[in-house]
Amino acid sequence: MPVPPTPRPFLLRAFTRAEDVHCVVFHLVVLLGYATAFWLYLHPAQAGLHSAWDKAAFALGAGSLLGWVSGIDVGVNFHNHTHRRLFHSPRLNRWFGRVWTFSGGWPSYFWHHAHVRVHHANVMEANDWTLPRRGADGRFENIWRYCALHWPWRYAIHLARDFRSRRGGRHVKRRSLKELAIFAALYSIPFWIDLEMALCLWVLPHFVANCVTMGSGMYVQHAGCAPRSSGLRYQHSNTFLSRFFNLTMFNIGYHLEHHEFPGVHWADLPALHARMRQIYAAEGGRVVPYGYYKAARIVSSLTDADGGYQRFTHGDLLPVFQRPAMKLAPATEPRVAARLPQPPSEAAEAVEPQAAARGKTG
Amino acid sequence: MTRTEKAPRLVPSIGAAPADPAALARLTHNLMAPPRPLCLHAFVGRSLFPLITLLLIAGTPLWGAWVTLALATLTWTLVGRHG
Repeated sequence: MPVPPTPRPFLLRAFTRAEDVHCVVFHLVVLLGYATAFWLYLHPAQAGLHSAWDKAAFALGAGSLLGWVSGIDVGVNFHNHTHRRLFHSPRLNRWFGRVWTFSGGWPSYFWHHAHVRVHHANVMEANDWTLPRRGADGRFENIWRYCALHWPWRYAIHLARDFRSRRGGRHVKRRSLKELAIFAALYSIPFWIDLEMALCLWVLPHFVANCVTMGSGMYVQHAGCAPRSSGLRYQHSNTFLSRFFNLTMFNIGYHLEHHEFPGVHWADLPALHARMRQIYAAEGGRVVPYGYYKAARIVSSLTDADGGYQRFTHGDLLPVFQRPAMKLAPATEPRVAARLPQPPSEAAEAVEPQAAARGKTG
Repeated sequence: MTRTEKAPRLVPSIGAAPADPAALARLTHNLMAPPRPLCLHAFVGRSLFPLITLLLIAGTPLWGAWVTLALATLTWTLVGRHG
């Protein structure tokens, strides 16, 4: 017999899931950070910014911090919204999305197109232009090159091409122009207030957000991976198990799980991971024990770029997941599916020690 | 099971090979996070980075722009090492 839903406080009734309040709070704190930085920059006497050097130091410090959290705000937080809408009201979803991404330098519709229609539908395939370019051996281009060239240059070219060719439907072109106009109106607000402030505390943070935070994140999520079309069913993404990272980044580290089931809510990804561990052990899922930040630091090594890439893509994979991957023909899929753990989740947890033991001996 | 919210609608991966419905059902059956979604621990954890950013920016009048820059560099270093 179905259990009736628990009544929720009035303010939470607009949300599809109560946990999503945290996404909204995150975004509001980011906006508050921008407002505070703007106010301090426009009131140098109160802020203690007495010289041009003081202003430059403030712009660099505040700009890099704002860029960091703006990258998370769009690349992780709004990202959750693109897969599972926060609110019950479609209009509220649409407008909150618009107000969400402009502080990250993106029209929400453009980001949604790049992420869902291009990246998720073709992850690691040749037409997934959101990812780094690959050499003949499948290896990603250098992370510095990717971060420097991808945003906004490659994005602009590919998005223009997609919208002109109506990739995603015949209304795509008209919708993109409308969304671009709304974005331009919102994005120009700091420029109307003060041009210098806008360059230092608006454009600079968006450069950091896209080139550093989101660029490096996109890179490490799929570095060393293989597309599904290669026959490797569960090697298209890397999963990151750092507890601190996943707590502070809305569980985005469970990336293989996310690509397998994008409709699963971000708060449920750890539970999904527990159920999928047996599959990973059998199919060679790629899992590392840290988060994106450390991974990006490893692959962006200036002194040993090749060694860093090798360490991240091979050396640091958790032992239980290091077994040689099996090539799965489509016909074998039902057989693999039959081995999947049964609910409840205790069953999945119970098999972990056995899987670990197999990993050590195998 | 104290959680009584409606289970999420599950959407298999876009562009993925057709998933076995039975496997999909087994994997995602009754898949819900533990309750306490709005507890203070989760709130501080999930908003930790923007709260640090806000604190460092708002504290500039107290300690000066150069300390803000130094603290921002320290934050980047620590997160890069341990994040």
